Amino acid sequence: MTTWSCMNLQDSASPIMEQLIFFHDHTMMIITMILAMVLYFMASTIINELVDRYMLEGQTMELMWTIVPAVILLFITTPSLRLLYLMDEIHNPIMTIKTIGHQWYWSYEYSDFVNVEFDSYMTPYEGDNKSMFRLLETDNHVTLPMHSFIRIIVTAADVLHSWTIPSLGIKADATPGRLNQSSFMINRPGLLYGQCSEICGANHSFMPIVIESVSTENFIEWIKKLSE
Amino acid sequence: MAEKSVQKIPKPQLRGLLASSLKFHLPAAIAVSAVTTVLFKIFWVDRRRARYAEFYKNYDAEKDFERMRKAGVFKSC
Repeated sequence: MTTWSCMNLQDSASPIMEQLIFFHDHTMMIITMILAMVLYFMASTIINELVDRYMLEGQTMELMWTIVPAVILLFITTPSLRLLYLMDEIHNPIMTIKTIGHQWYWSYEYSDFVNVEFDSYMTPYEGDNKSMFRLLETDNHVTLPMHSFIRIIVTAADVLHSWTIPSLGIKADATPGRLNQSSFMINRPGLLYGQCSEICGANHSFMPIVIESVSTENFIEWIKKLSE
Repeated sequence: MAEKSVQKIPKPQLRGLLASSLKFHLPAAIAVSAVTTVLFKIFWVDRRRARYAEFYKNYDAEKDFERMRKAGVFKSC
């Protein structure tokens, strides 16, 4: 989750998010290069004493400022497309979970296992409890095994919602009457937080998501308990 | 009339002023841009990659999970 003064992307909890962060750094590097060049030209224009009252065109300059940006965009597009297709690869998911957005909570179904369904409501903030995060905690967490490829199917029961976990690089719209599929693998244990990302009414800001990434053995124990 | 000597100044450049200005400023702009990019790459991009590599080099996920479990972080266990 984002702590105070965090201006960047959250630390990744999945390999895809790691690649997204590196791609973001690569694009920022290109943007910095363009910014440095533009600032230099702005400064030199400000201190410049040349005047040309009869300037009508500059064919060569126009050619350069068309071709150079196109070449720069190629350097951005190539890793972007690689990552776009990498995100859509599915590597034999070990389980599929369904997420349904409601006003104003999420419900989860682990259909691969018997009778595992639950709702997840936001826990109201207690001011004197220093171990809870305001507007981010829920009563039931989505428990998932780490190092396992998981498929998630997102839909909604009423209005549009969006299931988001920034540290996994996932944002999947929950549309009524439609199933959107996403997939991920969590590569470290912990709690991963997210919030609904599509305006859905009065309590849109109060329907967070918490994923508990646990060891495979503990996940099996948890699922067994819930299946009983 | 007294003859006065006239000193002629060299004829100033009247054309191609942008081209001659660009002869200096374009390489300078490219140099500034390249230096900024290389510094960004070394101190931001490569540092982040190195931090991630360092974190995952000897990372024991199970041990980290046990530490978190004992701290009472999880509701499932």
